Amino acid sequence: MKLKVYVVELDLSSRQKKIVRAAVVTGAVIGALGIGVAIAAPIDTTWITGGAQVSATSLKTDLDGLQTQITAGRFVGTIGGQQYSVGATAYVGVTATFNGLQVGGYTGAKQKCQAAFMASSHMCTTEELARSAQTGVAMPANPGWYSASTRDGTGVGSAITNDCFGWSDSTAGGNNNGAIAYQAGSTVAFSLGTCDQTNPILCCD
Amino acid sequence: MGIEIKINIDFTARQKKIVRAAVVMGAVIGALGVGIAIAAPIDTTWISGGAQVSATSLKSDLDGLQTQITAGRFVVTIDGGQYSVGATAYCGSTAQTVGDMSGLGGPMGYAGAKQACQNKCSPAAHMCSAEELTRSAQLGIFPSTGWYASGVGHTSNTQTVTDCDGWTTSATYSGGVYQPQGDPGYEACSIANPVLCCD
Repeated sequence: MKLKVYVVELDLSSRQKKIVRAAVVTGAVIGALGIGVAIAAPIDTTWITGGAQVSATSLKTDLDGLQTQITAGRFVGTIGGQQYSVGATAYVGVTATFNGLQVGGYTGAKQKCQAAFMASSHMCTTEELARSAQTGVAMPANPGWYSASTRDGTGVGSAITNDCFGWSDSTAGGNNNGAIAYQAGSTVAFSLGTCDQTNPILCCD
Repeated sequence: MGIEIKINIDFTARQKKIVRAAVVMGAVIGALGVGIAIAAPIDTTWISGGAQVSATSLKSDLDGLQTQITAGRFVVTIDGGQYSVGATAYCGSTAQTVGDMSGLGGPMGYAGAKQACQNKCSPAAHMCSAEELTRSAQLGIFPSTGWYASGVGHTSNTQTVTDCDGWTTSATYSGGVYQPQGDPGYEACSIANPVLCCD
């Protein structure tokens, strides 16, 4: 496919310069934060107006911006008005410590991760921790809660993992337990913890 | 700084027609209110070799690509079947069925579960996985009790949990069920539950 284009002028408009300046400042701030998450910002197309000429430089910036987001493979979806990161997400850190009840359900877990990191952060799932482990992301040495979202075990006296009954139980040695993970030497160990334990929440983003 | 490439932006009659169609389609999708962020693929048929490019249409396409990326939900086609990935969540439940999916009127197995979910939500819908239900629960979306694909097999004190042998049996084994408040559990495959669908 061929596009018919021609060179007309060399200067950026004041608006374009403003946008470039803003982009540079934003990029610098994000880089300075050093939060360990590759943030690929949405592109800005407000510089394009009907009837006006199109800047090749700005067009290139936008196309590169789209490609950067796709290459990063991490996307932030909004469901029910809340942000949630998907795709190439990984472990980013821990919250303060809570027992299984104090986690406050799945919504409480997400809120605590959001407060500790960013709006799209959430309690890690098995799949995210497996990806983190395979890519060499170090876990904390002490155990942290994560969501296994499956149940193992059957009744009293057996070890049941069920996300501490949806993160609503703090009973010691009862029917419910929660999944935990931690760094064990060169690998990551997955196990279960009784719901009375106080562990941090493993957050992913 | 830099060299600018400038492109004429006049609409042709065909481009105007496409824009009008896009506006109408957008209004219809909005009116449907299906609860799923639908980010439609862009249309580039308005670009033809040797012709001028419309700035408005170009902006529309760039915005369309960004909208799809921002939504974070993508519909892929695998072996001719659609499947949504990314920012998916619980979208509805099917009719009740025992573990072999015989209550859904379609084939057994994971395929039968997906077919029923397609009828419930969209062609890209499917039986929820543990990861999708965890995401839903963290976002405050809690379905009623139903089957989901845990994708793991394990033997507990009295039951062998195997996704009801790949959702093909109602006689033995157990399958994962998700319960209100997000408590993960399992039940014998002879018990009837709806399939939890995600999209």
